[in-house]
Amino acid sequence: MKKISWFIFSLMTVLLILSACNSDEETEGDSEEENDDVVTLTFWNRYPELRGGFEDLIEQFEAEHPGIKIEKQEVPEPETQLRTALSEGDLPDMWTNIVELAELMEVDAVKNLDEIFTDDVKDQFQEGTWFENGTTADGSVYGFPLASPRSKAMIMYYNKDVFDMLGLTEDDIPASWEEFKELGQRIIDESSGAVYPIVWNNPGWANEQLVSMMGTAITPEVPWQENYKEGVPQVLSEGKVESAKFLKDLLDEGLMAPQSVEIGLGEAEATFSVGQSAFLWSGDWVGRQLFVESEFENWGVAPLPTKDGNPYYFHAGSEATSIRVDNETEHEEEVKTFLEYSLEHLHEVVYVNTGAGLPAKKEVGGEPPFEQYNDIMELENELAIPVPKPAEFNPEVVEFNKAYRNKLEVGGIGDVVVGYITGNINDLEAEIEKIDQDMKDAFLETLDEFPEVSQDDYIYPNWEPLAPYTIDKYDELR
Amino acid sequence: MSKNNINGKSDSNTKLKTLKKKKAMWAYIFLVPQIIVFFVFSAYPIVMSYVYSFYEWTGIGPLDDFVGLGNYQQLLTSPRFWNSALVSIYYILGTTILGVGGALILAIILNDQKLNGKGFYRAIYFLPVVTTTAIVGIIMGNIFGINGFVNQILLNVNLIDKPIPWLTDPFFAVIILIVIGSWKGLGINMVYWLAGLQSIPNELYESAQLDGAGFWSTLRHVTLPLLKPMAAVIILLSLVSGINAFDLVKTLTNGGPNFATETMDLFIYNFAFSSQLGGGQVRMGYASAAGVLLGLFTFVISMIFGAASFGKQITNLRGNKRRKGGVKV
Amino acid sequence: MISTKSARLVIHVLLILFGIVWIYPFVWMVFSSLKTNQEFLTSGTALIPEEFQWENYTNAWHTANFSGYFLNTIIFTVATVVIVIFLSALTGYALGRIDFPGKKIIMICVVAIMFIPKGYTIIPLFKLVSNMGLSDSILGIIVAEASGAHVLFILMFASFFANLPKSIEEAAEIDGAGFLTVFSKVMLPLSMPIVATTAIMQFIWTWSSFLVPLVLTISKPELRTLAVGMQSFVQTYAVDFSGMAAGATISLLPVMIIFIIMQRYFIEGVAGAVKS
Repeated sequence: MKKISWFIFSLMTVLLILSACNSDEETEGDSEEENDDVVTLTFWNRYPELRGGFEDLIEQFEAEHPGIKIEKQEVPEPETQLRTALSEGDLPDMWTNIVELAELMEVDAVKNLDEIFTDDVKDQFQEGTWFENGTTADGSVYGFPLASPRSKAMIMYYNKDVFDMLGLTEDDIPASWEEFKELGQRIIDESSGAVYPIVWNNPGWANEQLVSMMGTAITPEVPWQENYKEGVPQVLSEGKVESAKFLKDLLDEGLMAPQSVEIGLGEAEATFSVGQSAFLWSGDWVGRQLFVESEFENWGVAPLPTKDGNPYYFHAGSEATSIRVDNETEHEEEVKTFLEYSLEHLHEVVYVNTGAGLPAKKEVGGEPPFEQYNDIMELENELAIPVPKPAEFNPEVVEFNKAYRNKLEVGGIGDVVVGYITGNINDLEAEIEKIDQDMKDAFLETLDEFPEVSQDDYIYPNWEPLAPYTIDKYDELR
Repeated sequence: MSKNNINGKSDSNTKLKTLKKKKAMWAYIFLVPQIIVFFVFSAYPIVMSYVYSFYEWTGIGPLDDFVGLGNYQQLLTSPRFWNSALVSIYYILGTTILGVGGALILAIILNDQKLNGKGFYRAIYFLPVVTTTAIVGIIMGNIFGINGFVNQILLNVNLIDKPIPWLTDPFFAVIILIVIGSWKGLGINMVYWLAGLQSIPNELYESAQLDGAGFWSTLRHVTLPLLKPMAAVIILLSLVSGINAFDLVKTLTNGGPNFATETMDLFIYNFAFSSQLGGGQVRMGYASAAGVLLGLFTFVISMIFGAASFGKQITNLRGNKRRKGGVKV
Repeated sequence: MISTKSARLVIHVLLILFGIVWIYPFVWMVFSSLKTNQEFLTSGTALIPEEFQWENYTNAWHTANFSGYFLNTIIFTVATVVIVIFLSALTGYALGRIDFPGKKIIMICVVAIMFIPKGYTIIPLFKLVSNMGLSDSILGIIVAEASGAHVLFILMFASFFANLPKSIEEAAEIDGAGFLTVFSKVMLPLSMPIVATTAIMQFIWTWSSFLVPLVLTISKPELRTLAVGMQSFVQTYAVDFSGMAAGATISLLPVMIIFIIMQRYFIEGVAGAVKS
């Protein structure tokens, strides 16, 4: 028994000494900082593809502004983390957008940036950058725009090493599902199973986006979760169901790498770049990920295959990628200095120079690190198409949307699609229909509670799917 | 001293009384820290979790949206909630049968006086107990991945011709959770059983041997019956620790695919802290209501198995239940 | 009990084979942490890396901040263990050694508390800690982890103190020692076995604790412990597999080594707890 106590006490002593040593170091570090009178701004980034770009930007900024230090943190669970910080009243000074603007406005958590974004400055940004409940609220700016609204559509990356190895050329890139399966079988046969045609990933949001985009080639009137012809929420569409079935077919027929159902985007990129798959479906940011994270540059881009090779599209301005500022920040001046600096340099350093996506600002300089950047930009301009945004037509729908979505058990069909692909759900249509019906019920029920909002706010007779819906078209309807 | 000798009796009596009073005062002082801590960090949260459960609340802003039993109503009609209860029950039963049963076999083998290297084996099989479950979950996620070690071994020896989706097939995923949970807990159950086995007096074995009883009949007629009271304790401990599967499930499958492996505690976490895996929004009140139901569930399980145990043991195992089930969670 | 030599041999073989499978995940983890990421993905079942990549450890330690997580875990664990021993020993002594009015009621309360379903208290606990303003420091997770009634430990201390012969403290009192002196100089040192058992069990629990630190450090990455930091590392750097293995090794190996050296005390501690 003496031995035990001896053991406990020596263990504790060792641990305490260890921690004492370490904390000494830390306090020293802290006091140094304080002596220099440096203001530290905290900044939470949730976009992995912007990680490197932000580091460059911050380094350059700090060199020019020695009095300000920016502490950037990568946030893997951004929503959970921001909400917790919000409930503790302890937000970072700046963060990349997460949690809907309307909700942040309600608790007065986000700072008005009108001082920086004058009308002149706003004009320097792409059309569609400024929209309600995204970058603006009641016309005032509440977000520093990062990516172009006309981006984030999914495209198909192909591995040129694999193409060369199998003697394929650009003409072999499949446009339809049938062609994709045929080529896929050829790839399997010719590589004797070493290369999978496609590697996919399992997050719910990615699956919902993919089936929605592929689905627009079949049912173009449902770009996302609404039907702007009938003015109701809609997630059950032939296009989405068929697209999900296509994905499952690929998996069942061995054309999709089997690990696709358990991996995230990063692992899929890694699989693609080591030549274990010929194709990869993902967004515009992946170019940078392949080039930098996987150090792989021999790839090209093409549109996704669709059922009959028909064109597909994605609703532009799907999310307001932007920097938000804490309304309670103690360093208002320093934040402003940083944002003003960013206005000049961010889009060039973080987007163009890294190839991490398309910037929201027009006429940005910089040198893309890989040649495919321009191909991606062209594709995105074609595929990310503005659709009606009811909040632009009637700002009251922001509150309305929030109220009706609060009544839902699930926010989308992503998890159902994943469940279907993994074999956990058999009757896909029935499951989607359930969500569809819940959405419609909640929508109509909430309409009765909001006299300022009517179903007409969701009906756009002058909208043609695939044709950009521009600002003047709202006026036509008024 | 001399005074004491003169009228010792009454004097020492009063002295004893003051001493007793003084001691009683010290006893209260000694109890104060624990009582304060208990009321602030245990009693208050218990009460508040009941209070929250009657509100619709995002955790931000005031508690002002009273919904009565609305959260409970929604929970009891939610297939996702019932599924999580079912997964929890599978996990609890699975880890108890595998973990406690396997541990008994191992303990009987290792209790053999003549077996060499007992300490070594004990250490090996106990090792997973000291490791951090959350990290074990991450490692196991790699080992049981589609391209993970297990599938590669099985493919290499031609047992299978296609990798098995251990973690994305709902059936296999629950099995894997149970296997890893049992692996993790087997060591501690083994030590419990060994403690029980060592409390059986050696004379009983000797007399059994004199009666000509073999290994199996000794086991059946002497060892197992005498282990019964211990068994109740061990089973209850295992059941209750199975209710807290959070660490493993969160890191191994995170409840996927499509919530098929979501346990009750993960359900609560998802609704309270993660709007994406919850219903698209943070609902602290709803999650609290699920917490209250989980508490009742724990209570019922403990009552059923607690009743099977008896005497002083109830006190002890209850104690452990609170430690593991209460404080940790 | 098992008589024949050959039977014993079979048992040894089985125990060793199972033992290898048993600890293989840890062996796999250590060797994987020394591979390159490419090798991790392509080496199949081969265990030994072609070349040991020690820089995976320096990367995890510095870049991925495992040094910070390690320090946090040590502070968190040691402080929690000390507080739990302090609270349980005081309560156990009062309940086990002293007769005072109301003792019965408190004893009944202790037992009764165990019968109240505690429910899932992490949500109010989280709110409480942030309302107390403790969410900014590691103190928050320490009090949350160390709080609560540690009924098992209290009862262990109480029954130990109750069974000590009266003569011990009488002798000390005759020498003029006061109540506190008796407790700290005589009784507490005698209870070292219980202190040790408490320390060992609480140490294992706290070092591995996940939910409380996870929830209380959601918005405070700099306060994360190893278990929580590991989770966020995996989410942030999904494709850095060998870095993941290095981080896991940093988190698990110290405790495993301490255990291997001191395994007898760990096992005796656990066995002692359940026996009492």
